Amino acid sequence: MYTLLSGLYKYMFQKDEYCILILGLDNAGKTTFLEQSKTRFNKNYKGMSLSKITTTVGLNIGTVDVGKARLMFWDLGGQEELQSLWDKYYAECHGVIYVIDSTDEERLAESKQAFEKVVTSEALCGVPVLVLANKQDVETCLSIPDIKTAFSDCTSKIGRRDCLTQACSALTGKGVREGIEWMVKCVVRNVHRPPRQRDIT
Amino acid sequence: MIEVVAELSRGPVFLAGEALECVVTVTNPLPPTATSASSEALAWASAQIHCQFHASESRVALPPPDSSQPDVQPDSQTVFLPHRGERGQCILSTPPKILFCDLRLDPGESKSYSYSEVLPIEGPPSFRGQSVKYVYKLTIGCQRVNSPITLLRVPLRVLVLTGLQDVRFPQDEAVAPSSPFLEEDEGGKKDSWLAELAGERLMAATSCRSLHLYNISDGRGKVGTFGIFKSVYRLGEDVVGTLNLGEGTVACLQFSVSLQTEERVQPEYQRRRGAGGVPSVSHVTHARHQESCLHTTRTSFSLPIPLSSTPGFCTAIVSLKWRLHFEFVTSREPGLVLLPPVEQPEPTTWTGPEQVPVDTFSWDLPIKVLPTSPTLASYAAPGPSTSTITI
Repeated sequence: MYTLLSGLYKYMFQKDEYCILILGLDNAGKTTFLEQSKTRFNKNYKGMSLSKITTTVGLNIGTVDVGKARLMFWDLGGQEELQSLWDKYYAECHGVIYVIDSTDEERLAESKQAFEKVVTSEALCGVPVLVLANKQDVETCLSIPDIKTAFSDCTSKIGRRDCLTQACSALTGKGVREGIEWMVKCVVRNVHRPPRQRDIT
Repeated sequence: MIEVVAELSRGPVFLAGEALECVVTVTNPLPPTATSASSEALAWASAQIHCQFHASESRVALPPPDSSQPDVQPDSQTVFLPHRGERGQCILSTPPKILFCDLRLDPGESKSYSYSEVLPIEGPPSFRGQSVKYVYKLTIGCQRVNSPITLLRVPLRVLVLTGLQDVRFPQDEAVAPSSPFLEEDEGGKKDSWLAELAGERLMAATSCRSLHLYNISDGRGKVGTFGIFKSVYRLGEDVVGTLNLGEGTVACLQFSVSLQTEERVQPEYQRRRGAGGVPSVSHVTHARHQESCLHTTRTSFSLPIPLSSTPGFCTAIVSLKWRLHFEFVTSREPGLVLLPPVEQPEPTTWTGPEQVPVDTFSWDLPIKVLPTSPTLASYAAPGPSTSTITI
């Protein structure tokens, strides 16, 4: 009977843990997106002032609980020199959020190049990818169709995986919740990358 | 184990607007023949210059920091925050520059990287005052894969010469015979051009010599005349003044003159207190001259401005001003009483009066102190230009 109760307790309270990488060029808004996510999904979290966010070197870690799933975000530095470190995290991750700066038309080609490397990596085979067209609060930003056109070369290289392009503004929070809920749905149903299971203790 | 050494090529003192150059050398110190030798790997290294601001809570009333919105992960060991663990708040930082990424070092191998960054011209100077401190550092962050970030700190001293922002200001040809703008054509020499311009600007400001005379009087008459040739100085210079007491009608027994700085918290940031509160103004004496001068006709003094002190400056929170602070002790009685009588019918022993009623008064003369060349200022504190850490 003790074993049954113990097992029942674990079943009711365990959280499936998924690691989500947040990638993209520097200044695309990755850390702002992470900060906004923590604010929106964690009731007691007091976010930092978004204006205080500076260039990330290293790894910002954030945790978000959505239903029975726990997302552990790894927000990696996006400077060109740091992109060679991204692949060190691929094997352990369950999802990728790729953030694009919709206002930076000049660097769109550069962003596409980096994105192509991400989706063609063997270590990320089958991993869901959420593409966020960020900074949609800016009047003069590129629209989703514009961005899809710029990234059209990559369509054939995405391979067999869940993929969604979502308009968003990390600054205002628009599109953030929808994106994360989509990601949760995808990582949960992806049988090829089972979650890390953590008992709540 | 990996050894990281950071070396400033020209000493730790810089002028705002100048480029700071630092060589970072990463070494796997095991000899190649060691049995336990293996190659070492570093994920990345990055460098950033930052300025920490710290205010005394008993003197300065800062608006409460947004406690509802703290800095992102202030104790995070996975993201490079140059001010992690530092006192005060970071008020200025340059963008991080990546020195290397994915470095592998074989036993005995060394690699060197060059960091160069212009010190922001809009920042405050380095300053360690009673109410406020501004502390500059170059911080280098290194991380092994799957390890916390290690921080290597290099202390800096930053001097600020105001007016360098408007570098297009026309130059006085008499003081600068060679035009600084000629060198601007050689693109690569922009930094030395700035240092040269600063040097010329300093020379122009501090070379102007004309005698300024001040009458020194107390309530009862003239004490003497004070003469000084300059009102603008550079760090390291001597303040020279001349006191003429021979023509005074009031006898001066003793005087002192102190070279002082006055640190004052701006009114909107002063801590309001009742009686006995900590003052929002504080003074530091850098040099002092004291002299008994009852029978002195003329005297002079020379007070050195320490190279390690801070030139005058003003920020939104605090201002620092320089001055000569005089204190005079004057006799309340006519001067003749203090002298032996001229004619005596028979020899006798004369003694000075045992008690003399005196007055004291003080007088402050503001002066201006500007920076000097950073190379010269480096001599003041031959601190380490090299910092080392082991990962």
